[in-house]
Amino acid sequence: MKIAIPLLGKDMSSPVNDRFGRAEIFVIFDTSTTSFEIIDNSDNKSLQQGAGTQTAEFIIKKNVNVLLANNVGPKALKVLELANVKVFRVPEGTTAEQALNLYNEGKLLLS
Amino acid sequence: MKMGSVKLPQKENKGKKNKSNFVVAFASGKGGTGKTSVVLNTARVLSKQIFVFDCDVEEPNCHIFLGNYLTEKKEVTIFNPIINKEQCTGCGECARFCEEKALVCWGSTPILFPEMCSGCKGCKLVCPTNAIIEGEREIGKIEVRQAGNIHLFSGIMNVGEESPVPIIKKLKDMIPERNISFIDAPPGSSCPVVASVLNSNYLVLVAEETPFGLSDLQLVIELAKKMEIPVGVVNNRKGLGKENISDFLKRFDIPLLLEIPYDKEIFNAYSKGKLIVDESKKYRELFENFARLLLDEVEKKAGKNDQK
Repeated sequence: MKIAIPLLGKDMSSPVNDRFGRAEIFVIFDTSTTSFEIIDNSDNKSLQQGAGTQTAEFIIKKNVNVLLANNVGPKALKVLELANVKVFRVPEGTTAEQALNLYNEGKLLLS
Repeated sequence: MKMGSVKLPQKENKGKKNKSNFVVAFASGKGGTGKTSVVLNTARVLSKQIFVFDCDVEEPNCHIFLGNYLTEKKEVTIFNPIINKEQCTGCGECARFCEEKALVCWGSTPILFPEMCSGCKGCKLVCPTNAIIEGEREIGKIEVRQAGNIHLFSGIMNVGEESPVPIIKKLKDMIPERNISFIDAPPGSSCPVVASVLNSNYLVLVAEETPFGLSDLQLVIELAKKMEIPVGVVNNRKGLGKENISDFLKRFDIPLLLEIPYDKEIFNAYSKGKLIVDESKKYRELFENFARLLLDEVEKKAGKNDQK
């Protein structure tokens, strides 16, 4: 299973970006191999409109099953729902590592 | 929207101008300088039929001065794609092409966000399986009124729409071929203003002598220069600010066509929703002189452009 998280930095100790569509960096964590990949979302970040939906499309195409994020807009959320990506809300200021732990402990709520 | 409307038709129009057919746009940069008042007072004193287009479609207000003589109302629609699921292969060409990012596709039938679509039909053109059917969506209305010599066409944008430009374009399609038309442009200097003043033969900028007024005025002057539209300025509420517009305009070689004093009599008429030229002989004369000067200016400057 693949879990995506928008990040402010490029490692697992970086805080979660409180924006989704205009986040420049995403980490995709693969639970089957416990490895992670950092992906660059800067093309979508600078769009005049549709940054949220395009970012959603981008991570869907990366076969992501779960998104951990602080804030996802209604249009992006609709796209993610249609692609069966589960979106969980992460508290502001959480690091990627903490967010994954909270998810594993079942402490996060669906958006 | 016709495909041909992509190119700037400005040059084409230049040859067609003559005494009885021209379009004068009124803009300002800064909001609240008195565009609508100047447009309507000028239109009122002309002794001929005049067509006024309220292109401030996000907050049209010309009709308030003219009373509610609604003669026609019609919906403005734009193209919106309908996707035939049976023919769609989910290739995503349409979503890749879409400049507005209104279509989202990840290998399935694309999802449309209708309010983001500008109606360009690009998706329909690029679809390799002809799976896109022509649908339409209402984005606003056009209301037509007549009051005395003024025929008013007002664009009204629906709440929640992303861009007023398609409504402005539809509104301007109604500009008659053989008459004088005035365009009341929205404030600012971005796309809606460009769409409003495009193809005009002359641009009147309604300004005020405040630092904000002159700063925004300069932006529209630069815009007009790029669009190659001749410009004249009206200084409204003279005495309100401490800047000097005459000195300012000298830098750009732009004529000052009219100065309207900062006068309580004008505000009184305005506060009742009346035109000052209907209330005061003094101001009727002021606007009659301005209208004459303006028409001369347009003829002179528009004529110059014809020979280019």
